[in-house]
Amino acid sequence: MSIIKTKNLRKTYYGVVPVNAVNGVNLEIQKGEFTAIVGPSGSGKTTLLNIIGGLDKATGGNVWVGDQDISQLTNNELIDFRLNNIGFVFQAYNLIPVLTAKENVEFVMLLQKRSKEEREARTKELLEAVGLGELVDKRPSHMSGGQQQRVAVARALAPKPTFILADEPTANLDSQSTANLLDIMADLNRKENVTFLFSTHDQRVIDRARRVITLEDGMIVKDERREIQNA
Amino acid sequence: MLFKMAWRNLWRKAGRTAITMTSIFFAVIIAVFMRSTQEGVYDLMIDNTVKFYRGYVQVHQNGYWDEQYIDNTLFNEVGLEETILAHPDVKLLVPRLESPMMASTGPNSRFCQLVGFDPEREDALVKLKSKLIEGEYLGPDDRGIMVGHLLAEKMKLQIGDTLILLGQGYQGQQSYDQYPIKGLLKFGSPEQNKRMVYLPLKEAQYLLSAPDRLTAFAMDVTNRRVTDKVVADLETKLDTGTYEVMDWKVMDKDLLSFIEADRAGGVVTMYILYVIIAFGIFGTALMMVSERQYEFGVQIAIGMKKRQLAFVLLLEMVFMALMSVLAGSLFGIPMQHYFNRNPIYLGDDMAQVYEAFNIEAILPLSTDPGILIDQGTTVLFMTFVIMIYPLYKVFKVKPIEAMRA
Repeated sequence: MSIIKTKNLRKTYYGVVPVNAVNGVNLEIQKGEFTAIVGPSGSGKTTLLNIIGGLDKATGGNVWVGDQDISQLTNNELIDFRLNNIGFVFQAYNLIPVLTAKENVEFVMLLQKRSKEEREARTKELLEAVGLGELVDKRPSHMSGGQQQRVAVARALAPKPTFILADEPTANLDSQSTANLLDIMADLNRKENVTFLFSTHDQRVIDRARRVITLEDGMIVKDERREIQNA
Repeated sequence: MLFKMAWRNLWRKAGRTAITMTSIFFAVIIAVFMRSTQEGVYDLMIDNTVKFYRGYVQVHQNGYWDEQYIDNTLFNEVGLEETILAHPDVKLLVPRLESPMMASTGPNSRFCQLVGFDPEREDALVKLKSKLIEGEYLGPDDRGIMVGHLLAEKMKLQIGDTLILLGQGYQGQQSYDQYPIKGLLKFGSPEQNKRMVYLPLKEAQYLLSAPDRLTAFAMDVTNRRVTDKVVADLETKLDTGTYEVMDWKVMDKDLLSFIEADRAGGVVTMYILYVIIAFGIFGTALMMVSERQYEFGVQIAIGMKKRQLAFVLLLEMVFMALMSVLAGSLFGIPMQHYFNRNPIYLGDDMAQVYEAFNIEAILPLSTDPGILIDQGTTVLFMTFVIMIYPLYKVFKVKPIEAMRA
């Protein structure tokens, strides 16, 4: 069953010269996929992810997440939709700087109005799953980039989303942190069937992806499925 | 957690928060000082002219206030005093018989105001004994007068000299007699010093051929703010066809109008001060919004509603305003009390101006807690108004554009 589907998706930026950042993309992502979207700078990776994540509006075409055509949702409806269906991992981690690791993870569940017991139990479980059980009370400014990105993954998973969108998640990480993060995400994908959709330039991420979609000039030029050992 | 976020956000730029809070703090202190001084002077004016002379409430013969002459005096019938004194808010009842008279030494004559008074009760209301600067205070059965010291000076009179009083008595009777001066009085008001002549009540009633008649019962009440109630209650207990009951706001309309006009001026000045401060707060709020655009974009992206974001921002400003007002109050309360007990004395030039308006030349601060409450509500209200535009900006945040910022 596809959890993400796009049909003839287009995004044009109208400047002096109109630019088709996304140009007729038809795509289906199945539950449990571990997919990387790759391509050169300006190929439309981030724009495609932003539209799929409900952060940006397409100029044309449709995006379905499950049965919901999110192209039809208002901005306010999209906020609720994102909260309950999409987990985001950003290149710059983007944790809330005044909250601790534990509070950052708990925060999205608070927005979902989950009970205190449920929030605390899931926060503990997720922080342990990303190997940060001992850093729960640290604020982002007291954590390394790798640690912050792991908190971001825990935060993205906290609301039990339909899928996780990760925009260049390893771009700011060293090799060891990248390896750790990929291990954690691959583990979550394999054991809990969490769906991940990345945009990346990073060969280490591409090497771990079971599906690699290549974009050029806003169009899919290659869609490759692979069997990866220990992914 | 939203409260926690707001509190911690406030201290991310601790220096800027401290500067904004300090500006609000000083605005509150200056406003409290200005308004307390103003209200303190009003209290002084009311005390000088109302409490320590007219009394907060008076009972007259019906129609006396509009036509103040001796034929409109009330008859002090049996039981009248008891009825008035039975009111729980009436502390003191002072009978008076007043009439304009001519004071004469023979070659030298001046207009004066005769006050027939009960020496003991008048002292309780007006602290008349404390105004005696020479001679002796009269007893109820004395046959003598106390006069304002400027009247004596102008007429070249001294203690022991005799003054002739002439005027019209009750129902057209001719009234004249001569009395020895037994005391000289000094009031805060130069006008009173030039005009007042005090004669014990019984002797005044005899002089004016008005036995048992009074121009007024003046009263002191438990609190200046209960006068409306006292008037309303007494009007139900007394025959309003015979008596009229008035409080100082009716009898001293000019004073009240002056106070209200002056107070309005003070409030306008205070608001001008706050408008200046408001621009500082507005600048801080705008900076808080513009420098956190990226963060707002992320928070909206992960599912935080804009109204929750706006609530956090509003909380930050309310925290800042409340803390500043609280600090201002903690400093303002002792300041009010200190300068209430130790009023600022005005210099000679200012003293002359104040005394010309019958006001003591001091600036005591009012200790009315309402002044502090007013500042608190003003700052909070101002904060809410200031936040309209920054909050509008929050509602206009588009996550994708904010995250590109």
